[in-house]
Amino acid sequence: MATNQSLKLQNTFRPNGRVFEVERSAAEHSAVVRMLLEDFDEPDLLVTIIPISIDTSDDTLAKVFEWATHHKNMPKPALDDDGDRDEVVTIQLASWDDEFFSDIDSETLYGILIATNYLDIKPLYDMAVQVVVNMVRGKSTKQIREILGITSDFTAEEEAAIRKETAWAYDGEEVPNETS
Amino acid sequence: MTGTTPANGNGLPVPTSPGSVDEDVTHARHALSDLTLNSSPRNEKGKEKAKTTACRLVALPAELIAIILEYLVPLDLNHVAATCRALYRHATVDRLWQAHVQDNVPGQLVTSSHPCATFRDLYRAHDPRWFLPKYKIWFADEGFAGQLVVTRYSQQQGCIKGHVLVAYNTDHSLHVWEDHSQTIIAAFSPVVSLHVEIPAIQLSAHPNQDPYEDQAQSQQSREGRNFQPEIYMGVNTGGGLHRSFIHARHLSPEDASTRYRPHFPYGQIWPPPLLPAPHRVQGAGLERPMFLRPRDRANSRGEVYQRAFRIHKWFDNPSTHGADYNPLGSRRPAVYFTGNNMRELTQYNPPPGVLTRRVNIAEAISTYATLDPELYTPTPTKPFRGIWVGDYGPHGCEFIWIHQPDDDDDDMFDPESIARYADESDEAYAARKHDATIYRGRLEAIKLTGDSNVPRGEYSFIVDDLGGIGFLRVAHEPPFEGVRVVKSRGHLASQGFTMASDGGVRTDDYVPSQLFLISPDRLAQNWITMSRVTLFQRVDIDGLLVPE
Repeated sequence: MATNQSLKLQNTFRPNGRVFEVERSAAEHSAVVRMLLEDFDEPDLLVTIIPISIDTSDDTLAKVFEWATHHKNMPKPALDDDGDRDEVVTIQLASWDDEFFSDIDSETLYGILIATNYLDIKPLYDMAVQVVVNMVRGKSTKQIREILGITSDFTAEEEAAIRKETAWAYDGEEVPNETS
Repeated sequence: MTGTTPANGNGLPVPTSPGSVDEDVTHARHALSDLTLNSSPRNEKGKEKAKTTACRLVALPAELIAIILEYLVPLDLNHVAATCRALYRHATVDRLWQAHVQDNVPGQLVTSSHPCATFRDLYRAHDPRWFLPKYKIWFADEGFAGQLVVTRYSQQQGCIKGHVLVAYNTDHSLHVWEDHSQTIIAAFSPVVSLHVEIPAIQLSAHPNQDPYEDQAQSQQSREGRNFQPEIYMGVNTGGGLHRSFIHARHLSPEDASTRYRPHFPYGQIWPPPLLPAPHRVQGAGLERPMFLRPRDRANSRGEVYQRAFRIHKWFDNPSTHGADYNPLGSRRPAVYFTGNNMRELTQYNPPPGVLTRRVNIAEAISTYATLDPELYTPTPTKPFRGIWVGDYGPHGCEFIWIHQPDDDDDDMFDPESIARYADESDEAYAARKHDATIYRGRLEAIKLTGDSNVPRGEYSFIVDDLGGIGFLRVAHEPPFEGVRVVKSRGHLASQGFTMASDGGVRTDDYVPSQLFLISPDRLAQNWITMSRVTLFQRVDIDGLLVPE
């Protein structure tokens, strides 16, 4: 069986989802797809549209498959390999991946998190987590709000209470007092 | 793995704590309780606002947000918590904070946040002192002998405690070495334990009030608002000895090189040069005049150096007060021991925690530093790495660090490159490859505690090469049958070591000796010139970390 055989995948979460044609070796980055494939007879694969159901846009899925296609030759972990999801390790992004992530907006980034979590594409999922973590790490409350586009919904009273609750971590001069 | 969850389905439980012991926090919680009990805005105005501030990160499934937050350190979590209501709920999930406590408590599973209602409160209560249980062992600059303290966390008491590590030999028998009748082998059955009766460090989640502290100042620090550079640890049992814990700030590289002296005691920097450390701090209290300058102290949380600290001890005895020396600039009555230099100090080594008035010490500050755990954790190729206890005859037991430095050529070494002899059996060949892997490179025994001959921080003995040219023979005579013997150099010195600052002539020397590699847990050093063999045994530090 040729590994460059194409599979058809469709997101059925919303009606009229785009049908993606993805090379088999790329789609197999998803542990979920690989498990589904086991249930199909080989000849059927050419005609069957494999349904997936994820709350993300088609554009986001397109980015996920773009990544998977670029990395189609990267070895995939065995299906029974649970990995160390619990282990908190910092990953160094390779330059292509770095470029990949620098091009996408935060909406798509969150979508990639949801999609890779559903499809179980561990390498991309881990990287997306890392990218979000790096957006927040070492930043002040004010900076985090700006980066994530959050406006405080605290009342003044709550804001003061939080300041009091977290004052131990500040050296005095840098206690946040934004009241946006 | 589950699929997506509805965008608004992230109402994680947030620990609320009506029974909090800290009034201040309870008050703060009260204001925040609406966030935890009911996330919907309370009035129309709020509802409108909430709609416009919808944040996509917050809309992620709760499990994904939780995973992202797992990567953040406590300071980041605080910042995230302060951004908006939804992230407040996520960043205050106590499981995250339990993990941060656990990260600093090796050797035991942390399950209790006692006496705090939540792990978040517990983390706060001991911040920024979690480095104490994290780094486990601390050696002090007290006199020539020094001191080794093991720090650990007591969940039952919610307390960070430090205990002096003590060892004594239970077998003082001497044996004539049959094949070398001039040489005596000293038996060694050490008992190593923590001196638990009088802790050297005792830091509770809610510290004692310092009787000398200014009322207003202490009120402020009790509210947890300000960083406390010095924490009063209370009066020692019976003796009227007060103790406090002081955060240290490390010397700047320029400062360190200005302070450093090439000879013992190295300008009082701590740890001394043989012990690797990212930074050094100013030791204090050994030679006069030795002042702690403001820049030797951590005056804010950010200045805290996590690999050193100081303990300040003083007697509450008016008769010893009077001198105007005040090492900490505190308000408390302060004097320090008068007219001592190190040599006199070592005449009397009080048992841990029991300083007596017979010596002229009315006040003292000791400085403690630690060692990166990796440096004393054995590996398959560096099996002797560790903390050991050794027999130093009349000086008693001393603790040493066995250092097997990484060699530059470690990565290049490949046991498979060893050629097989023509008639060599599989077993013999495998054993030879195994030996070549383990018995290579340098081994240094560096004293963590010492004596008036060779003090703490100095070499006890050195093996230049465990293999190759260092190899002497495999012993055949009892009691060392089959034991590998390598060349070593033993460090000997006369009483008082070398006080370069006294213009002293260097009295220490390295003498040819032999090291017997009995096992990765036991070594014997043949001090040839002294006609004596003494033994060393590994100390299981991790086995001491869990309070009974």
